[in-house]
Amino acid sequence: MVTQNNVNASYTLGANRELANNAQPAFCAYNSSTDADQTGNGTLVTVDFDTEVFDQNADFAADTFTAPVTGRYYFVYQLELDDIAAANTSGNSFIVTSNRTFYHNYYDYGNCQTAAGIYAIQGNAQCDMDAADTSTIQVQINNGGADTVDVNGHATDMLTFYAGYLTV
Amino acid sequence: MKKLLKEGYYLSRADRLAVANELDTTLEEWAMKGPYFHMTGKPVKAMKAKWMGKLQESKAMSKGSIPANYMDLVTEIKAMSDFAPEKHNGSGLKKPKRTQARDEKILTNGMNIENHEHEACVAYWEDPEGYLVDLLDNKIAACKSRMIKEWTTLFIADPTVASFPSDEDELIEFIVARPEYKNRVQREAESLEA
Repeated sequence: MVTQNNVNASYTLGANRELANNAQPAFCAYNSSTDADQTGNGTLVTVDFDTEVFDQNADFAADTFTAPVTGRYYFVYQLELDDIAAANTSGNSFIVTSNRTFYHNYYDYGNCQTAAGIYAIQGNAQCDMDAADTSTIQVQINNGGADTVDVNGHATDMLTFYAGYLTV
Repeated sequence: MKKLLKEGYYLSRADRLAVANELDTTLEEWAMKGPYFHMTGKPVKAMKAKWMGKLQESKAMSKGSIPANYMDLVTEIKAMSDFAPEKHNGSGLKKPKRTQARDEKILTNGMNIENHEHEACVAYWEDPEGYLVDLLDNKIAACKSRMIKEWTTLFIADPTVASFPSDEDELIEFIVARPEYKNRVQREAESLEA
């Protein structure tokens, strides 16, 4: 049912015919405080996204998106990593879904970071998911000798975030 | 504490093989992630998102307070005069075709669910038990469908394959009997070695 200017309907038709669907699965969450010493020597860590900007179909919780219906979902993320050293010469970040894992490979982090040891990774993928499949973001930085790489967070700035929505 | 799926869920061998083709976990481990959230966290979260504003409005008028725990919050929301259950269902979910016997029981102790989650769950889903079974059935059907689609394409392109079974369960057995076949865990282990 489409009702003009009726915010209680699933679809909202704006005064200028903008169509919004407030039941469409869509979420955006971010990390609100830095998680120190998460990886750096090969430790695979599931990234913390503890604060929601929106989750309009109640599908996101505990850093995990759960598909409410079978479909194709588009995910995008950024991870701001800190305290990267020259020795951190390789690493990966991943969109981990139930059906498959999408790899984003990076090499020579140690030479890519800023003087402050910061490097931001972005990734995205269109993922096939069955109803109740899950999706998380993981990161693994290697060769540092110890897990000294932080995953940055901020109370208001979206340094490390994860967002997604059902496309078809 | 309440329990869903007290009688567990039964798999056939072909069900298990098709799931192993695609997942790096067992179906039971998969069930305790997404489907568990669908039965527990999602109904509570959806109920709060939909009704919290109205509850605040009505409490503000009566100078009342809002409970700061989910058990009481769910009870208060369900007691609102205009509260109506959602009654979502699993329409559109697929059922697997099976010819083999379902002789492997999983979720033998059912799925535990907190009382307030159960209260929200029965208000959100039309038939929570049925929906949970539908989710498991749908996952198996999807795994079988993709496995069969992938391999029948390969068989048709392979001149050494003269024919393959039409029955889905027999076809899955035919696929896993191929010397080159590997399930997901085996494929990923091989990829890591490379």
